[in-house]
Amino acid sequence: MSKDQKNMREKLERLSNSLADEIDAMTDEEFQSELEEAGEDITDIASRTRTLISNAMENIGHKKLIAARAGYEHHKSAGHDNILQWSHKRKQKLINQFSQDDNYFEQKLTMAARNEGDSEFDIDSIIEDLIELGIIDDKGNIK
Amino acid sequence: MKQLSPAEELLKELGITTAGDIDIDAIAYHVGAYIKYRPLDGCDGRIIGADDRAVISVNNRIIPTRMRFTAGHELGHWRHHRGRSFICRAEDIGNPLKGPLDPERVADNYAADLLMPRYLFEPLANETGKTNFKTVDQLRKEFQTSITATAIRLVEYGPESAMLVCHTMGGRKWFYRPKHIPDKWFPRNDLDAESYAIDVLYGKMERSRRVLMGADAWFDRWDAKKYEVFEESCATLNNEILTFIVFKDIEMLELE
Repeated sequence: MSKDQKNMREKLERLSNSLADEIDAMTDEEFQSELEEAGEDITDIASRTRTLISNAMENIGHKKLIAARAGYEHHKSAGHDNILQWSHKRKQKLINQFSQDDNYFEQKLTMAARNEGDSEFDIDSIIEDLIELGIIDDKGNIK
Repeated sequence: MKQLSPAEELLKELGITTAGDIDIDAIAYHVGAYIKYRPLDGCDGRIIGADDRAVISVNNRIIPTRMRFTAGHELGHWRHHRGRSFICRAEDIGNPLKGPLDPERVADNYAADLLMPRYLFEPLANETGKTNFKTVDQLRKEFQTSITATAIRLVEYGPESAMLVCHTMGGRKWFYRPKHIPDKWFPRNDLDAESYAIDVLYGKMERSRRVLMGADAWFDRWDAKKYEVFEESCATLNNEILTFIVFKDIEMLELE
């Protein structure tokens, strides 16, 4: 961008800011009568403004969604396979320690275990999640 | 404007304007939850949370629409029951038998709102003009949801006044009746011999056609004989059948 172009843009920004300030300072009645004098359809302007705002919000939201997708893909590719090389009993004890603070979780954990015969894979995956969330360290110590 | 549910607000925040935009992994990531698809033996879904982060596990041995609903269900726990961890077995997810305040039902409602938000679902459903299984097929292709979850949603926000009943060989398992249908219309436990639902239940056909039937085939009430309803049944997984009962007579919707 040349210096002249930059100056021109700054002038335009100043002009649009001062117009916006002027509109902000008007009462609803003053604004309405000015528009009527200029032969504008207020309902149409309101509707166009609403669409403009709603489109802008959608665009911002969509950018957030794209960023979240990218974040998810990055997290997935990073890999988090922390499994403790412990005996099954020791792992179970660790999970029981964690779950005893939450009655509902403890009850469901017991039910799930009873249901399917205490899967080692499930226990490993819970430990993996606890490490990933920083609830325990990679040596199995509760933080 | 209709009030948005928490799940719908989240979708709006992410600029979601079509069913195809409902990217459940990205939505979860945006609210601090990371979804892992992995084999699980004791449950279909699980969420373990700490502070503002959570890991959601979804059993990858279940069908894709079920995986998607399970992920939405766990996000429901994350939204409504933060600070607790959940292990959700198959019967905890998508189970209309649970009471409205049961945490699993709350999570189910959240999943339905997230995957089939009213502001997207209702216009598409109304375009079809019919509450039937053909519409369910069209909508579930759009929203990537199961027959049951989509049929419940269609009864809730669809173009016709209808209820959905689920039967097994053992009789009625559950039913879903939207709020605007008077509770005097309580479906019978057993199927009537004249109903085509019997043929679907016994595997003579996958789906029955939408036909007019005396309302007394479905409701055990003194005045049911006066009315007719449309019925249409469809077999689903687990030897269950779903039936739409569509209310033809407006008089049936009047309160006593």
